[in-house]
Amino acid sequence: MRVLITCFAHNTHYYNLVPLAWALRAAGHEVRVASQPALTEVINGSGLTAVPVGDLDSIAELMTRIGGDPTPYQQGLDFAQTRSGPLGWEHALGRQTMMTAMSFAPLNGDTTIDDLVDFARAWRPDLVLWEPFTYAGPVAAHVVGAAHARLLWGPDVILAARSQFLELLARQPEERREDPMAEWLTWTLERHGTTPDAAAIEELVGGHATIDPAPASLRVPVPGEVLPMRFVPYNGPSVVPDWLHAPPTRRRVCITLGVSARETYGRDAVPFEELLHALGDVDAEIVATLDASQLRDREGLPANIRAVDFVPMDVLLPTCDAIVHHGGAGTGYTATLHGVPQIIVGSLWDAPLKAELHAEQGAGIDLPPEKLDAASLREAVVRALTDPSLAAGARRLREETLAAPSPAALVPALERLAARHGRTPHPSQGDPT
Amino acid sequence: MTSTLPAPTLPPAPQPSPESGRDIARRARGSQLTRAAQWFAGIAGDPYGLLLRAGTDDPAAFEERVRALGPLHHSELLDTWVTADHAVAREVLEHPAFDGPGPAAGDPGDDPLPYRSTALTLDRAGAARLAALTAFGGPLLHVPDGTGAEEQAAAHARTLLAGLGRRFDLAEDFARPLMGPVLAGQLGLPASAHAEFARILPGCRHALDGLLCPQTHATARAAEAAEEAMAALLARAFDGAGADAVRARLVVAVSAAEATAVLLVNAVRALLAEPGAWQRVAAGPAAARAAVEHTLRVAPPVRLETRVARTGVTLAGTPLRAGARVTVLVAAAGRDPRAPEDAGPLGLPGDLHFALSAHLVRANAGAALRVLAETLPDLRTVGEPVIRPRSPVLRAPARFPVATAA
Repeated sequence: MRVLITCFAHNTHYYNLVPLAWALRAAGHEVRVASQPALTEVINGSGLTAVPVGDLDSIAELMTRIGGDPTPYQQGLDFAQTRSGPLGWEHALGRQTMMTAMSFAPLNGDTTIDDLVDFARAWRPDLVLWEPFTYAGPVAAHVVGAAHARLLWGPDVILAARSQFLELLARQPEERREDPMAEWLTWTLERHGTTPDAAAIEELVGGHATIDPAPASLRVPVPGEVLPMRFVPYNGPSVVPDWLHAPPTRRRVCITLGVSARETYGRDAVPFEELLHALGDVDAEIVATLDASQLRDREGLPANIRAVDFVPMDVLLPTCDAIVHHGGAGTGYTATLHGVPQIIVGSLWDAPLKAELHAEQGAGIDLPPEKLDAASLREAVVRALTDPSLAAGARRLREETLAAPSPAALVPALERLAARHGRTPHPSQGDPT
Repeated sequence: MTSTLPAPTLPPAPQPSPESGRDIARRARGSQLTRAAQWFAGIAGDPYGLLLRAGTDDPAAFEERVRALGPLHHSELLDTWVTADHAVAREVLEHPAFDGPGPAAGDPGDDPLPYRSTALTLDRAGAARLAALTAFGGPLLHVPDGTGAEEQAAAHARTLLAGLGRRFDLAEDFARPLMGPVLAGQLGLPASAHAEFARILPGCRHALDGLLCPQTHATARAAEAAEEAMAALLARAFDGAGADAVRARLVVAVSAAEATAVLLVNAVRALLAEPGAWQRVAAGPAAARAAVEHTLRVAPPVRLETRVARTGVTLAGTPLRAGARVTVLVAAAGRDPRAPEDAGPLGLPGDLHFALSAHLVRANAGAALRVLAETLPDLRTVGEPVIRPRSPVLRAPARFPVATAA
């Protein structure tokens, strides 16, 4: 079959899709990866075939409007409440409005969507797999009648928030109802000659199915079909540094801000040097992944700190006893896969929720950014190294991860999904059947 | 009634050229982003954001929070100066540095409200010029004076009420439907155009809210279409009368209709809540006029007015740059305890579009109020009104069920 993979131009969001893309390719399916041209090199670097679509003008437009810094707006979206329910109708509506206007619409600009629809019309995919922000994917799938599924990179806060919103919407007097997400998808699809009904909107929002790499205990309940998949890390171009060849001589802790947050926001909320100095007397090697802007004075660091620029997490984490991170998707799931207790300083998007979930599962420590200082960080690291229950909790999550089907084992389920939802089958070349 | 009525048969309406899907998306996205910023400001605790997001809460508490921040508060997130102070409000509405409800004509920047009403873009000079045309006894209105306007409105109100049952919706069955025939007559439309005017007019009801708050995409598109249809109808009805004659009527229709409906509903609501007040309104035109003035002060139909500084200016001791937006919290300024006792109500500021229509709003609301009180002395509310979403300016009732005992 023909599988079109879509991801807005962001490398770590894309990395999450690569192992499944290769599983499909290795099973003999045709695979194309569509993104804005800024990601073409990264797609090619992963060995897959790129389809450049659209541009990043809509993101530039957003940045101009909001003064260049999206961080405060993201902080306005608190998904920790997705389990207990939002504060009420107005909170739920505000969240839909902000997610649509400040994330989904700018990341899926009109040119991106229109180019992708054109490509899908010409190439006729059987299945569209999409990164959860990349609504250009389901829009194109809907227009050409292809099956489509989301591949999550974190707790499904988008669909959880959506279900809560719909429940509260139904309770509003008719005059007060509004749905910004449906509004955006509607004016977008109308441009392509089709007007979606309410059922079609929800199918677009959540996909025909959701592929979830989270261990079962870290999932938030959402409606619709969920296909669990074992998380397989792809860290991008990776080289094992010499110092990692030898097994560690003492316990090891990784502290990282994560590539995504570092590249997107370009600055740290916390002065790193101060934090690292606080870990100077901890009986462990501290591997800090930092860049030059984060750390000007490597020389003055305590002796147990190893400051490195980039190291593939999939290579480093099997040697670690704990990790401190900001709740980034790839970092978190790689740590889960390797059974490493996580200290999560979560501030953006779903990261506070992840921190809570890990703490509840006894597999990590929730260290909210507003409480992060030298003392609280040191205390958390010492606890992660000395409390055996955290290591046991992390091992449980690792076992849950390994129990899910690998990407390769998921391929038959995706073939069935395409057959079930694809409305316009066509004689596909390279079909393995 | 001195004007010669045009021929009853109107030329066909011109067809607007279709807007491309991309252009629609660009404007719609701009609107949504503005709305998202208002939500975000509200979530961040900005009282002006909370006012603009216009949820179900009573706005008075948020207005008082603005007042507590001083005579002039800067909403950083929405880049707008906001005042609840009566003296500062007066200065904004009177000082020549402030003009227009939005970007100046020819401003190259992106308008954060890309679907704003084109009827309500008058600046002060334009408003003053056109107001001369729509004064009582002026060349455009088919109304000799305030009493004449009241008589016209009262006659239509009696006809409308006669057709209503014991339970009806004050907003949707009375206040809004009344505006079509009343304004069509007062604006001198030919009888053949009255029905179309009345059909189009309710579609223009979002214009005042749209000056500060983006409407939903469907509403914004429909409102734009309604205003275009209204402009086209007036152009056909007054073909040859000149651009000002058409424009002035459009401004009156768009600014007066919903403001009058909301003023009427606010007045009824306040009077029914006070024992004996409803019966006193029936005493005569003077009592109804006084009730309207009182409502304009305590529950004005226009709660927010925004102006743009066209030059650098100092306001409440604060230097503002040219292009700065200032919003007057009309309702809050009206109840400012420091306002002079003899200060008139701020509601319906007379420097822009209401220069053309405030006199009609007052007369029509007063007359309708009197007729209601005379005809239905035992009127009572049946539940709370449902306020329309995205209506921070008017807090317009989508519904307001009422009933009579008889």
